[in-house]
Amino acid sequence: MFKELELIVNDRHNHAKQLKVRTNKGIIGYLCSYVPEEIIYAAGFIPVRLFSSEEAASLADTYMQSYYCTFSRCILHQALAGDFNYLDGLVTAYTCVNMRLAFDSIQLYGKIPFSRMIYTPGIIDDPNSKEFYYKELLRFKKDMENLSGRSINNDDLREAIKVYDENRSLVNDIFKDRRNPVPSITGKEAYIITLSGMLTDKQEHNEILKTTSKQITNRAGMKKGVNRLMIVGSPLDNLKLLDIIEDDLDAIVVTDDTCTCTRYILGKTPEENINQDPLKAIVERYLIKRPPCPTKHAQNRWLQCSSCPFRAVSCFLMNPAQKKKLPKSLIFSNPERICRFRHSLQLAINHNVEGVIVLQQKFCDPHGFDYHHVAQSFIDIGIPSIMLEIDNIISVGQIKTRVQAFLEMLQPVNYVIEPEIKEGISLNI
Amino acid sequence: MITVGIDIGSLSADVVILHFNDSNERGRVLSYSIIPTGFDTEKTAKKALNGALEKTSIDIKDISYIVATGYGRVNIPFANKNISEISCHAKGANYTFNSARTVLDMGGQDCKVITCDETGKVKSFIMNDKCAAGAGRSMEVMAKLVGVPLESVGELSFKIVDKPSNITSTCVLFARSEVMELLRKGVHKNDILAGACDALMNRVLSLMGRSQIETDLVISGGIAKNVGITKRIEEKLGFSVKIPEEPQIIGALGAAIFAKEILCKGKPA
Repeated sequence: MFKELELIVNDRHNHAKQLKVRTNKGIIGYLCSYVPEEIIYAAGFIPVRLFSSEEAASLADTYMQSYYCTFSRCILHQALAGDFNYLDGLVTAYTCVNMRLAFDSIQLYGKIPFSRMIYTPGIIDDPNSKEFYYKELLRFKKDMENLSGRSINNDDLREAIKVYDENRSLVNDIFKDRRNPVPSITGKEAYIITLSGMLTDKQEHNEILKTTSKQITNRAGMKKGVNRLMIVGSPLDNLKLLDIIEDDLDAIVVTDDTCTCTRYILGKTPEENINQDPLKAIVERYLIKRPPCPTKHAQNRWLQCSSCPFRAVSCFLMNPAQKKKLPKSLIFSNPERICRFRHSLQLAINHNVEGVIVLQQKFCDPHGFDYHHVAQSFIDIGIPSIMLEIDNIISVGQIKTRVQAFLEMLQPVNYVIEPEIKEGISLNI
Repeated sequence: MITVGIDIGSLSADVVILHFNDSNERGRVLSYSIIPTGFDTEKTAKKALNGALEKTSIDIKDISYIVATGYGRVNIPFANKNISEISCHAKGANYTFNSARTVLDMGGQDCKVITCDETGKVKSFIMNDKCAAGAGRSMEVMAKLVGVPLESVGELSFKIVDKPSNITSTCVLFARSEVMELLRKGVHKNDILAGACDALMNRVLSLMGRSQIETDLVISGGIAKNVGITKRIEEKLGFSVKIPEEPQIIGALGAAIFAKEILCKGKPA
């Protein structure tokens, strides 16, 4: 039932080309989940996210040193190779330097007719940041109007927000099932759902999701009694990793905190703002309502956590001796998602996660800065984690050894491995 | 009963044959073999197993269970099960020294720090990244470059003539260029080897710094045979480490013990 969506992910360039011809709409590529796609959509374009591929980023070497992440280098490589020649424009939001250099280089050498960087504030809950971001989005709206040659009024924005929010709630409804003891979708399927959504027209995606969710309801559970894992960290766009975890080794990914899956669909646009000023609603959604990525944080990052239930265990300002263990059954009712760590822990608890895989894209600084805190906060609530360093090319053997050992570590001490005796060993050399 | 552990590493393939009468018995290593890993994993495994069998009077048919481990573990069709080398090293080290709580395994192409509980079950582990610096291969490269046999590197590294050379490159290939420059300058090979051992030790210690080290610490893997490394680690840590009689078979030994545990769980003694 995921064939159609998987095809979009695997054949993304051809899909976008066909989409362009079929809908007669322009295609705008974007680099980061902080790009407010609603505005692009309201201007009559189809936004598609650019991802890395499994080829060596050789063309990017001229402009980006090897100490930038392969995710961004690979996007530049594809742009220089002309793989994105169907794009009518390229948009990114200012988040990390890796992506910024890729964007700058594409702007200069990528031969894409239009490009625009949206300046996104690093501090997300300050009134000044909101004001700045609002003005920046106004300017961006103007640019999109010029590009499309038509004006975007508030109703256009409201319509686009409706489509995007519908998509978020459709995916959320499907993902809710992953909290069950036997989830009916695998982690790979979850990634296919969100990745395909970023690569196609959202309205069409919504229609596919409606039929898919009906099929999922009638489906038997996917994997019973296997370890429940969570993925946290750098953007993941290579489904091979999930093949290793879920097919080669027997485990299931029940949730994640990555911008290519769960973080992308969390956070609805606040309704009261949509009616008043839809652009303001977009500001609220992107800055406050969605979970932040490690390049975005609240002001007084560590101090304003007095009401946080995790303060008892995972506040980094606290003396380790004062920390106490929280029961894993703790569930919080009102997630205010401006603290990333709290958000991750909450997801882990809600989904009964047994182990966490922290993905570290090689040379991904923002996630590297966070790694120690992420690992420590999971240790504090008693969930073990491992760090996997990844590239755009997944090195299967090494990843497999690490994950297999991690799964063996998660087994209880008295775990019984069923003996499977093979008959007739022959050793003729 | 007889179980076998096969550890196909990046550089060497090791086989351990374990004999025991029932699950309460600790088991006894009947024989083992260590051969270089060839291109064909399956053939290498058969060759190593035959090598170990030849030293005993037992026949292939007497083997009850085979567990494979190491990078080649999935390519051995006659193994009953594969278990990661991380779990196996912890198991094997804990079997050899009951007091072992941390295992530093320095293999051919990677290096790992494993902490385990009193049963040898892994509590946590850290591995080096993709690069082979700090692993056996880098020592092989250095020994070859200065023209001494690998076995004598440790001994020579203490016979410092002037002072240990400073080798700063993490990458083996860059380090190789550095050493060539030193040779050209006429630096004595012992000083270079001392520098190479220092560099490798520092890299291993930085990996250990990311984990909580509990005593006793066991060093396994081929590099444990190099006193140039193990002595330096002991000096830096300030306590003595435990080194198995044959550190290279610890992974295969762990696999054989897992095989025993699996068999005994199937048929309670």
